[in-house]
Amino acid sequence: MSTEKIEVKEDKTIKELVGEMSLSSAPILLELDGEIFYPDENYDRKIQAGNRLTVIPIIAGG
Amino acid sequence: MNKVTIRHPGERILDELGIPYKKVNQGLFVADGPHACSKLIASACDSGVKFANMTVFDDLVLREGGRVAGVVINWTPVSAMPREITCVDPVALESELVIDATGHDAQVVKKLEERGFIKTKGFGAMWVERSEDLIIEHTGEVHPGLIITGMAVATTYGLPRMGPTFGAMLLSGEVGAQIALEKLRGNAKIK
Amino acid sequence: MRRLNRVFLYDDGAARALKIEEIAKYLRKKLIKVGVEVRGNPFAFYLLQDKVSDYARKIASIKIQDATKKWSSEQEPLYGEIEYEKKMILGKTRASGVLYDGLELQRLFFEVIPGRERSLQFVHIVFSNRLFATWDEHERRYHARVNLCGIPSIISTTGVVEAPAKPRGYYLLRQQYEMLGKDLLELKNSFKGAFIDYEDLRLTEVMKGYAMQSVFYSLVGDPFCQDKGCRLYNAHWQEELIFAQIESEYEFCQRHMSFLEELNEY
Repeated sequence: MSTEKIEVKEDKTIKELVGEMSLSSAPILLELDGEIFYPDENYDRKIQAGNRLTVIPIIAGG
Repeated sequence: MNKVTIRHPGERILDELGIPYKKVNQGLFVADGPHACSKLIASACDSGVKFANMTVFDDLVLREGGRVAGVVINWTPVSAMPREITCVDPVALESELVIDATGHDAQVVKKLEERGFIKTKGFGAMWVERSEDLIIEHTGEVHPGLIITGMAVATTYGLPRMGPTFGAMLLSGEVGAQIALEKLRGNAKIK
Repeated sequence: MRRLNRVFLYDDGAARALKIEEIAKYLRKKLIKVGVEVRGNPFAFYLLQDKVSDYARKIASIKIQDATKKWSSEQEPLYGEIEYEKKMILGKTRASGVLYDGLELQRLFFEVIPGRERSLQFVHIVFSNRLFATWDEHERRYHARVNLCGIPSIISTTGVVEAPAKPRGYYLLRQQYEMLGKDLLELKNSFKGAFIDYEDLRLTEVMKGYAMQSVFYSLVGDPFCQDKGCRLYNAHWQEELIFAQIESEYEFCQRHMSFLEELNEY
C-alpha cells in the first residue's frame, strides 16, 4: 500500500471514511490541511465534501 | 552441576568472595559449583544470615494496604505427615522486608498473586544475550515490603531466561541487598 | 516526489556501537540540500520532567508477553516494569530484551513530537535498542522488525540482530546446544561474521541504509526496493542484509539514484 490522496465527496466523519475504505484495521496516518493524525483518535472528527486527505501507510521492514 | 558458568561482570563477586575460577573465553568464566556455593553460604552466615533449615514457605504476613510484613513458615516434616494430624501451627516471622529469591517458582510473589495483589507474567523464552542485564535492571521492590531477585524476577515480569549461567543471579542478589539496605536506612532501622 | 525540509536523528538508547554522528554525516552527503540534525534522546528533547512517569507507564503497558496474542490496552504494567522504563527514558540503562508492540511504540514517540514538526517534509528517525514487533493478522502472531517507517521512523539496533533470520545451520545447531546445555556464545563464534551481532562494528554502516529507507519513505512513500544490491532492499535474512548494506558493489539502484539526483537538484 502506498500514500494515497483522496478527495472527500460528501460530509462525513473520519470513522465513516476509514470504514468505507476498509482501512479500520490498517496501520495508517491521515493528513488533512497539513495536520497529521491517527484516524482512530479522531473518529468523531467531521470532514467536509471537497476536503483533500492523504492516507499515509505505516510500513514495517525486516 | 559440578561446574557453574559466570559471565562478565559477575566474576567480580567471585573475586570478592575468594571463589576460584578459570577464564574460558572473553567474558566467560567457570567455577566449581560446590566450592562456589559453599563460599556463598559461608559468606552469608559470616554476614549474620540465619538459615532456617528444613522449613517451607507457607504464607505471607500482610499488613494494612496489603503491605508484606513477613512470612509464615512450617517445618518440612509436617508436610510429610498425614493431613489429618498436620494441625501444627505454622510459625510467623515478622520483618520489615521480605526478599523472594526462590527462583523460577517465585513462591512469595505467587502467594501474593493468589491473594489478588499482583499479577505475574510468567518467565519468557531463552534469550542469552539480553536476559541477564534485564534481570538485574528489574531487580527491586515489586510490592510494598517485597523485594525480588534472581529468577523470581524473570517469572514476575515475564523476562527471558538466560539458560545455565549464573552471573546475573549473583549481581541481582547484590542489587536486591543494596535496595533492601536503602529501604531499611530510609526507615531508620539501621544506621 | 515530496520536498524534504529536514532530517532529525534521535537516540533512544541505541547500541553503543552505533555512531549516530557518522550517520548524520552520511545523510548530509546524500541529501545535499536537506538539513540533518542530531537531537539525542527523544524524551529528553521533548518531554517535561513531570511527564516521565506517565510515559514510563505507557511504554511499560505496550510490552508483548506472548507473541501469539495481540496486545491489549487493558494490560496493566507492574511497578517494577514502570521503574525500568523510567530508567530507559532517563538514559540510566540500555539493557534491552523486552518486546514491544511496534505500532504502539511509534504512537508514543509520535505523541512527544510537536505538532508543527509532524509532517512528511520532516524525517524523524529514532534509533532505539528496543525490540519491537508488528502483529500479523493472517498468521495470528507477532513478527519482530528491524524498522517501522512512519512518523517517526523507528530503527532497532536489537531488531537488526534478532529480526532477519540467521543461517539455517545456526538454528539447527542451536537446538542441539540448548539440549546439551552448551554455551550459545560458543555457537555464535563459529558463525562469526555471518550475521550482524550485538555491538557489531558493521552496525553503523548497516544503519545508514535503514536511515535511507526512512528518507525514501518520506520522499516517495515507499522505503523499499526489489533490487537485492540496493540499500533499500527489505532483507529478511541476515545474508541478504549484509549483502545489501555492506557487500553490494553499488549503494543504490539506478532508479533510486535518480531520485536522489533529482532531490539534490531542487
